[in-house]
Amino acid sequence: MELSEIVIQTLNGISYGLLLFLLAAGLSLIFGLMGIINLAHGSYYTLGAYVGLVIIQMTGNFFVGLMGAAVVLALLGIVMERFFFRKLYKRELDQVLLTFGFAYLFMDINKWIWGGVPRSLPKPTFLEGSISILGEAFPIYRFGIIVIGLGIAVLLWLFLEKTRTGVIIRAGVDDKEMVSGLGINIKLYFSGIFALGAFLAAIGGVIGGPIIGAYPGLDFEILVLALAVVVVGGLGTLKGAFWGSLLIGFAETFGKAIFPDFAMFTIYVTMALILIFKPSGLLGKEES
Amino acid sequence: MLRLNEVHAHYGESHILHGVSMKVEKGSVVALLGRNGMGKTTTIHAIIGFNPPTKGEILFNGTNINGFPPNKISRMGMALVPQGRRIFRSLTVKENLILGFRNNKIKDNHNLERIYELFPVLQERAKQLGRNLSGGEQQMLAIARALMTEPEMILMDEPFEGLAPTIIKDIGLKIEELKNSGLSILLVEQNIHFAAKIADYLYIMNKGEIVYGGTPEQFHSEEDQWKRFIEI
Repeated sequence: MELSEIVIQTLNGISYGLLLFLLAAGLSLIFGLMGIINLAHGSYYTLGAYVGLVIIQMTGNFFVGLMGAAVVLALLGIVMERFFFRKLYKRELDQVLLTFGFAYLFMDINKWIWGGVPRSLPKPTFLEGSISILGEAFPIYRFGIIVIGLGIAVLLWLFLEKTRTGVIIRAGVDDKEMVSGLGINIKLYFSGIFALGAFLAAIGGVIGGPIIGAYPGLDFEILVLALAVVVVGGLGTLKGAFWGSLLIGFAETFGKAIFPDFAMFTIYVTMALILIFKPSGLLGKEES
Repeated sequence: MLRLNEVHAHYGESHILHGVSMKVEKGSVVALLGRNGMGKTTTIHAIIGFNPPTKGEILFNGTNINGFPPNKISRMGMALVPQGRRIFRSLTVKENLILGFRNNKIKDNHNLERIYELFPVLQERAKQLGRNLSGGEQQMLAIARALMTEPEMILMDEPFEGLAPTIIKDIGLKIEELKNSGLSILLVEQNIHFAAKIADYLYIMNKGEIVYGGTPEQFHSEEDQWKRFIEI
């Protein structure tokens, strides 16, 4: 590999990793706080992309589409938590069936409304074009993804570290029964964290839209990657989701560049190696 | 202050408490003794609402709290220092403390200052993560966290478990200090000598039932009545 290609692939890996982070952060926090593995989480990403596309076509503004899709999906997350998941806390098998069912339901609804043809989202005009890095062209839009992804990661970190709500959420990941024993109604936070997870996934879907697009089956593809991130990074921590996302992002982009026929293979090898040497993930909670 | 009437509790299918009745008067320390697996922690979990009783009444200041969620029971003035301490391991000491604080403003917190006076070591370690504290420090943090909720009553479940003798003495003194400040305490304890020294009344539990109750004087003179239920 030449230097220019290494630089380009590194930037690709970072931007792809940050997209995955938007998905994995919510998946990991929902699991950490509520013990639910939400297999419909990839659907939030894809639905977000489709809803964003509709709003962008209506308004002609990328950022209105971005925020609109995020808000719509956040509301969907609240509805799903309140009317479905709330009834199934601590019933893992039922949760898996329910969330898997939702994933299929959403995939069919998407197909029904938007058809089977892949759709691509338009880029915001000021992020069109490319710049030259060591003689190779690199799309400016990917820098946009990096900036938005890092910005959201910082905001999320500040929220979890510096606000009382963030302290309560982190405490809930440690021991939610004990949080309620201190007079805090932790269940009130469950809807909120579900909404946040769906909100972030939708942002991922829209900002990923101009390069990945939206098509039937994308929800499952992206879900598998997000699950890989959570396994690699460790469940329930934002830091784990962040570093896990970058690692899987690199494995995916370099894997595709070096062994085009075995791209998924590099992800699973990474996962297997981490699981062998650190079963709780890079930054996972140690079992106490 | 607290009265249990014929409380029954289950864990899953198994019937653990078989009609437990006991009371804690305001400002008193009551010790609940008994061997492991006899239902002491189940009693504590029934009171705080972690595992609500399947039958019976728990009256706290006259209100039957059976079936209330733990957050509501806590806000009525009940606090828990749980078995195994259960401090939030990935939070700092200060974050552990402010969770119990009712007013959402973290700054200008007199309560926190008072807690730091009572446990100076927690102020020194304010920015350390809970998981990096020693066992004794974790126990102090668990007690301090409970006090942050400004309770009228504290449930303490084996606060000396797994601690070194010198630290046991330190924490014992703190508990006496709390007693003298007028706090009501229900203390689950294995160490009957400490319990008999600090408690105003002692109960002994065996197989989910209260099998003995008496003042420390009675407890000392009636050894034949309770000895078989406790290993010394």
